[in-house]
Amino acid sequence: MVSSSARWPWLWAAIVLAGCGSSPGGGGSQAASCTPAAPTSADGPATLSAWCQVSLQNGDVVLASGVLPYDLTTPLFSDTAVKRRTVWLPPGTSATYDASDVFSFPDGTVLTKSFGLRDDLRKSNPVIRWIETRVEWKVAGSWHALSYTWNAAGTEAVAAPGGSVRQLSFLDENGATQTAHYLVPSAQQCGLCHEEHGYVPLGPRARYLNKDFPYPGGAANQLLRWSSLGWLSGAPADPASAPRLPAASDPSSGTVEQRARAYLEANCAFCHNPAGAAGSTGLTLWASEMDQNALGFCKPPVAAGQGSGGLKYDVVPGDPDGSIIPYRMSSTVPAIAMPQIGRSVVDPAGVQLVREWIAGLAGSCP
Amino acid sequence: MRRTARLGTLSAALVLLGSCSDSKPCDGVSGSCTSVEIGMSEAQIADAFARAPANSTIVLGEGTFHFTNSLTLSQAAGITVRGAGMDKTILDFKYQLAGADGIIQNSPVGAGGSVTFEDFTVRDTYGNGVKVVGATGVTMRRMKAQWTGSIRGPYGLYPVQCSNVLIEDSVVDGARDAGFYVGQSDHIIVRNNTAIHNVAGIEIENSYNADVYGNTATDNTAGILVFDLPYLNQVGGHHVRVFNNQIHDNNHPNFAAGGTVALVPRGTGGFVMANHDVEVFGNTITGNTTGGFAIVSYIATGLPYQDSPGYVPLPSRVYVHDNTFSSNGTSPDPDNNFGLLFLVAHEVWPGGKVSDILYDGIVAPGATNEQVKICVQKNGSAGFANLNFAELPGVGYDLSQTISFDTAPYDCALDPLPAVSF
Repeated sequence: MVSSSARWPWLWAAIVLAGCGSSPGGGGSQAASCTPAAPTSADGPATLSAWCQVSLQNGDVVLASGVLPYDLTTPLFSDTAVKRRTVWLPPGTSATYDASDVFSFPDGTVLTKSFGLRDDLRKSNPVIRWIETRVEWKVAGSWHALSYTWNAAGTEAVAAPGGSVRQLSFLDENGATQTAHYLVPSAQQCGLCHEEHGYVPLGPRARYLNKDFPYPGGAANQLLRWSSLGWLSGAPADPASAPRLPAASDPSSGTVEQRARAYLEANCAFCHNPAGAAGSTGLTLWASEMDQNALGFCKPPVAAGQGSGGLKYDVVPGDPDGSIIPYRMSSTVPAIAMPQIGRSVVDPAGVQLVREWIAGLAGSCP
Repeated sequence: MRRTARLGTLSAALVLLGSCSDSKPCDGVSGSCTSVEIGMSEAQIADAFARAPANSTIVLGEGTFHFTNSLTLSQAAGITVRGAGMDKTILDFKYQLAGADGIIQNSPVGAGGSVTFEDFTVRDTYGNGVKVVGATGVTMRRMKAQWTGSIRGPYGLYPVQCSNVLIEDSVVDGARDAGFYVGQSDHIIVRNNTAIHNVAGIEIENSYNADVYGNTATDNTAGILVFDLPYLNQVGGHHVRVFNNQIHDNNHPNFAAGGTVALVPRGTGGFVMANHDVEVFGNTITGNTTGGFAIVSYIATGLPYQDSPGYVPLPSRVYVHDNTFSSNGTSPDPDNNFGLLFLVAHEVWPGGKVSDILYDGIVAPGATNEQVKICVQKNGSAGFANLNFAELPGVGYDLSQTISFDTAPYDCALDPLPAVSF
């Protein structure tokens, strides 16, 4: 219980403060004066509090009554940010399961994701500087998105459709000071990744959700929990029958190759797919992609410019130093760094994993 | 009384002066319009770009605007972004921290509407100057993309996976890859532009139906390239006309960081690589010290292509005629494999210089030029050489053993290609 409270302090706070366990998330402690309501407009309100989904209390995110937390097997790396994700469906509605695409959510669905940077990555109870909460909501069949940036006191977040760049320092795993130029994306910048013929959420897909979450009252598989709440229809009764992307950070969840490919999917594939913003590169990084050229094996870059680092191929089997993908993952120079947005410091664990995968590949390039 | 009246006149004059200086960039623009002026925050400007509605105009006032993040333009159809003039409105990205491009508009391929950029400069972006993905109807007019210092982005004006692309009267100066780059697109007009100090001045890549004319390409590493590369969603570039361009003195050292253009020798007028149906005519191609114009296969790059679906690495139906060539090939690039090849053969070639027009001579086994149709004629006194690269390994990589100056097999004409319209 101690370790679980250390890992999920935000949830722990919610449990302690919750009055009863009847609501999906075990309740929240936000001001009782509001309850979430289904949005009806494509325009988001000017303040986050108007959503009545999440707030900050005692340095962490607290959920309103009826709002459910979730997380993903392999998340996007966002400058070491911790992320608190929530889902809320209008009463009496449910989403329809899909084995590969984002679930088909009903109108009125609200998803939130709050981003905070820790002061010290070595601490088990770091101070989290909450930067923004992104809200996605569905109205008349279409998704909309808006980021809200938190004031210094953490009492309110205001709509920031133009985005901004925030400079924040932290101590990394080695105790060294790093400075992130954290990007709050503009409303349109969100669409660079969240675009599949219209804006779509990325996370709520079977293969990312198919894992246990430490709910109040005990851990449970997220697909099962969503189904038992009546929020998800059509999911397999046994989660083992649903797809699951391995957790890149957990060696027990897959081979190096499976985990590296999971990492590349979560961090790259929403642009690097034939229909994505980086489709023109011909590089496709879905974990399910089997075509070696599409995966970058011995594939020359098209428009990498400085990003190629003078290297010839995206992936040279057996040679991580000769491969462009880890080179770009290891850079923070805007012209070189990949992903192009959302990362201003290096993710050493991600780089190491992808390098390990490439080092273990058999073959060579001309 | 009198004093009050006089002061009244004065204040009226002040009001009038004030209203002059208070004129908004949007004044006189019909329809939805957002003014962007000096003094607005970056977030406000980014918001204007992000939320521009369909058929609206963003008018940029005079001055230099600084950005730390890419500007991501709304996908709504029919947006115009207009400045006060190429040298009056400058969007400067040298302090960029996030995103790589200057301006990007991204739509699913085929789903984007039209978009117009005109009358401003995008300067010192870490990535591309202006990038548009997936639009139908891209106009870039009197635009400048420019790099002034050590920061160099790959492409200046960069529509990719678009159709109905018009780029005219614009300037790109200093791109590390291609100044003007149109990739994987269809129906393209690139005219009356100036490309200077880029690795490639103008590049049409994996594209269909392009007219490139009236442009000046000078002091680039290479002037105008028509390329087709493997492993992309759209391959098989065809129907490209390059005509009435000034392609001179493209002798800038190659400063590409990688990619196919890094293989291009300094001093190259132009290349056609692995396209079919290309017509090159009416151009003035002079003073390019490695060579004037080359027709090559992708095989000559030595890079893999074999399993790229539908990809043909060989050029065919390329017609080079009625161009003016002079003073090309006088000093091939010794720091580049292609250039070195030319240099090695330099002394054996007649006239003390490399021929103006070069063909790598790589064809499918047994194919004749009646089938391939590389046609070169009526180019004045321009020299022509077939390098017969395919035979090189058999003769110990001695180009002097394979090169042929026999123009007869290539002295043929092809039907003119149709003009591009949309």
